[in-house]
Amino acid sequence: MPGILTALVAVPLIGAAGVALLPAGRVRAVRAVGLVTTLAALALAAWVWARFAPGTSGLEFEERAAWVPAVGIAYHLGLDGLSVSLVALTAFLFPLALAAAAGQVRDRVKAFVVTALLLEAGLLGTFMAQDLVLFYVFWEAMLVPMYFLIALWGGAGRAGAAIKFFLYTMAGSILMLVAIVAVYLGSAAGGGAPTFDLPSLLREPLGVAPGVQAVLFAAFAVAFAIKMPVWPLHTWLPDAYAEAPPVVTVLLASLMAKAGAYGLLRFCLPLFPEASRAFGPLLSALAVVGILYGGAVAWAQGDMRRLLAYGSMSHMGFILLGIFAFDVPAVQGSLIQMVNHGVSTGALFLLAGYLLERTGRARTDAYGGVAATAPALAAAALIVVLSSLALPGTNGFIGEFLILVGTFQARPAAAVPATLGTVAAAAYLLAFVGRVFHGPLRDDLRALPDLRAREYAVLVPLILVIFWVGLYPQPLLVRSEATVTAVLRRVAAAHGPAPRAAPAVGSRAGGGERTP
Amino acid sequence: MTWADLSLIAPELALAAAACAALLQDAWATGPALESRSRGPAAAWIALGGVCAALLLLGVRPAGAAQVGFAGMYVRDGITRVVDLAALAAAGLGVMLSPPYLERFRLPAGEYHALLLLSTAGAMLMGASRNLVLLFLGLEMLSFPLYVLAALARRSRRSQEAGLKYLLLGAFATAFFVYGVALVYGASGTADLSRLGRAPDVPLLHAGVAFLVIGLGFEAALVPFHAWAPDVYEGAPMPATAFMSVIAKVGAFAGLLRLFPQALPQLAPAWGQMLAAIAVATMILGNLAALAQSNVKRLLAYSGVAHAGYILIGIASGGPAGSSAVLYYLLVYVAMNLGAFGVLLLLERRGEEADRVEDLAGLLGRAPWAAVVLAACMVSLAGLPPTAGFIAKLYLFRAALQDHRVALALVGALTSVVSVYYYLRVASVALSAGAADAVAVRHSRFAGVGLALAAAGVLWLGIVPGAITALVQQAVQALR
Repeated sequence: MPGILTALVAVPLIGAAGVALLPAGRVRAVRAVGLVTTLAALALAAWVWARFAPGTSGLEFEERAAWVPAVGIAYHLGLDGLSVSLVALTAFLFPLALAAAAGQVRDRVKAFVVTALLLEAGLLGTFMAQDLVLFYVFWEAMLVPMYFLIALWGGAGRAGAAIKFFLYTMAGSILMLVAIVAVYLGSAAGGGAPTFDLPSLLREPLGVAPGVQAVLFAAFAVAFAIKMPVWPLHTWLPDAYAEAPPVVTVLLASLMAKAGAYGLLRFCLPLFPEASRAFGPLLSALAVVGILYGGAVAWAQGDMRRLLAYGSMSHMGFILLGIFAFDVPAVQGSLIQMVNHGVSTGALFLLAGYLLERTGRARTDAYGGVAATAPALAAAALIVVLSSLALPGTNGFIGEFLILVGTFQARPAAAVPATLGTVAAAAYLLAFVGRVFHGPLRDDLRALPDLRAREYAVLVPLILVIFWVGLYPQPLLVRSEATVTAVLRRVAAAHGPAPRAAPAVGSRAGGGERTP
Repeated sequence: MTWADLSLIAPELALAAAACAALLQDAWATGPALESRSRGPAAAWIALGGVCAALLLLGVRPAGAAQVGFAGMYVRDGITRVVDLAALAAAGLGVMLSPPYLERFRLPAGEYHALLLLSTAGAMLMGASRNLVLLFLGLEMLSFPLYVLAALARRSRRSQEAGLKYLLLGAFATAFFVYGVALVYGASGTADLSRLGRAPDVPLLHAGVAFLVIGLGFEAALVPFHAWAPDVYEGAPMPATAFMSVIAKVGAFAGLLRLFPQALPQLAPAWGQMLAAIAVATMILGNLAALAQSNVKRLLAYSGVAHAGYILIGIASGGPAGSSAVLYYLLVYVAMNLGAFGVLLLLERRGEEADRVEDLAGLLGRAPWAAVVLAACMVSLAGLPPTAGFIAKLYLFRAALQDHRVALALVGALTSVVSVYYYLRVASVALSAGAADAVAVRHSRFAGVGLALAAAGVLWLGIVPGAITALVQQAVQALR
């Protein structure tokens, strides 16, 4: 009996099929069907998010069916504290992206909407899959539509950027596939039938030697690190972010990058606890390098979207730092920061897209004084930038604060340089605002129109979420707490001290053991 | 030969009968003229009837124990059934996708269909071999019609050249094969595959096996026996290219399956290494060479070489896991490769084949479904989910790691990344804007149904692989 999670994956697929059957000339109908589909998915996701019972670390809304029983592959979906908010974020951003695309993508609209809906199904499935092969299927299935979104609708250098993006991510993920098969074969070491099912795999330690475990961890971690991206595996990022159509950049930065961080938490930590501990310092160091490098390079960029791309990478460094602090507040902070980054960076790239749509200019120094002619646009940009800067009262503050607090306890040597990253963020983001929106108004920008009703409709929900999370993060924190505690207990179980208690902001008690 | 023997080869007989009928219909329609004039769909319908009859005869047979006939030379077991299925799928799709091309380029339909059916029967015989002599017979029956098919366009120099090249090199490879049979017989005193397992491990046996590998490796286009493939693929008329690209692999790998995992498991330590080395070389060379191609036929030729390397992973790993992975891959390969060729067969550039990558530009605007099918097949060839190519590769990696052949799995994985580059280039050109004005798209309901079937196969084997996985695992149970 298919349940609500299957429906969540199926709705975009059905919508895509519906759009594919419409005649290509009926652009309005195509857009309407696309928007209605994503709104339906959002309604389902919101219902699931609201009904999700905090306090348990196990899977909820679980669905399991045999898929390829002869090989031990199952169709197994489920949500827990790690994924429930990311599913909601995905469903929340897609209608906004499709609405924004209405003004930006005018060519082959039908194909665009179909591809975007396939991408949504892939992303939602990635966050819900509990079987390694099923996860891999969704993971790669979102890569293919993303490739086509960049390669077919991108800017002048789209072909190169798209293939670079694809080869990079594929190189990482195919090695992960080999590692998945090795994990599968290792699960039979105890004499039972091998399985790809994640909860079954976690029931007992993996039957592989420690050295092999390190190699397998590395294969998984590299795949996820490329997606995030982690320095030094980031070189696909600026091209892909800058050449993709603006709304696709939103999806890349807000959602795809999260899939990488999510993968680390979902697979690397629980499956390879010892190796995670061993590699923790290295990954924390890479996170710090990424934070500082991304910030410094962003500051030097003249291209608006490249600036935001490196900035996004710098912010992803904080998420990585929090995960590998192995500390409940820090990981909680990372999870909440994933949502924040999705909202704030998404909004930044949307605003950049609106500017590009109006003027076609990619460089910040081609603008100046835009605030005078488009005050609402400038105000929205300022709010979003401040949330990215982690101003108290906005969402960014909650996330970065928790990450830094947790990391200070666990890895002070990494936390101190990381705080410099927040300073760098202030430098490049305020420079961006200053160059584009302030200063003397350029003559050729006098006719620049302010936000239109449709654009308000996209930005207002994002800004509401920025303040909602900033002022009342509790709903997000309670949902993730029990699962995070369980995952970290698992990592700590091998040796070392137990993770510290939950933070004050998320005051609910931790749940029980992670049970399948 | 008894009635029981004849009923055993009923599917092959159905194909042979249909081949004769197609030739006779051709002769009858042509009359005393020199050139064949039969271009209507009659021959295609006859061939399709033959394929369907063979499929039905395959289906009515109980799936139980293996049946042996012709004094132990012919065996009808699980492997035979899957190989027959793959060969008949190749034949069916080959028949359905070609009519628009045959009509446009005035190729003799009767001969085309008769040769196609005979070649299919040859591949099926290879899959049913329990004796080296029958394997040889099947190999010849598979390859001879292919030589003629390559040269079918009598007025095209390229086609003649392709046919001659294929014939000369193929004859060479076949000679190696026969010599191998002789040496194996000399070493073991039998040509019966079921008795080779007890043969003494003498150098003569290894030499004979090496020659057998050359003969089969040529047909499968394994490196270093692949040199014919790009030229022949490019020169042969496209329907012939499409068909030979899959049927030769089906036959050759069926032969390798019968030879290595089944007949010579005791030589696995020695031969596993050798086959693994060939697989590595084939995957690397095939994929790297494909990168540089701008002609889609040559690109698919090198891609075929690369896929031969992937399938060989399964043979080298051996055992039930490897053998079932090979069988699954063959089925998948038939669907995805013929799907890709099927779309190319609809195109025509000013009276020539539209075989350059840029000819595909703007296909989405003019034939959206064909463009989507082509993209799906390319994604599948690249081994990406949710298509069949992914599941097939997953099974191969599983077989390799189970046999502790990590290097084989890693090379397979990394070369798949390389392959993404050229497959996705073709797919994104087909889905891109802009129109190659010189290229016309022909619409044909017959070919449309064929394309739909190929696409359905690519998706079905990728999304709901359970039933066929069970089938191929059942087929190799005897190997345990």
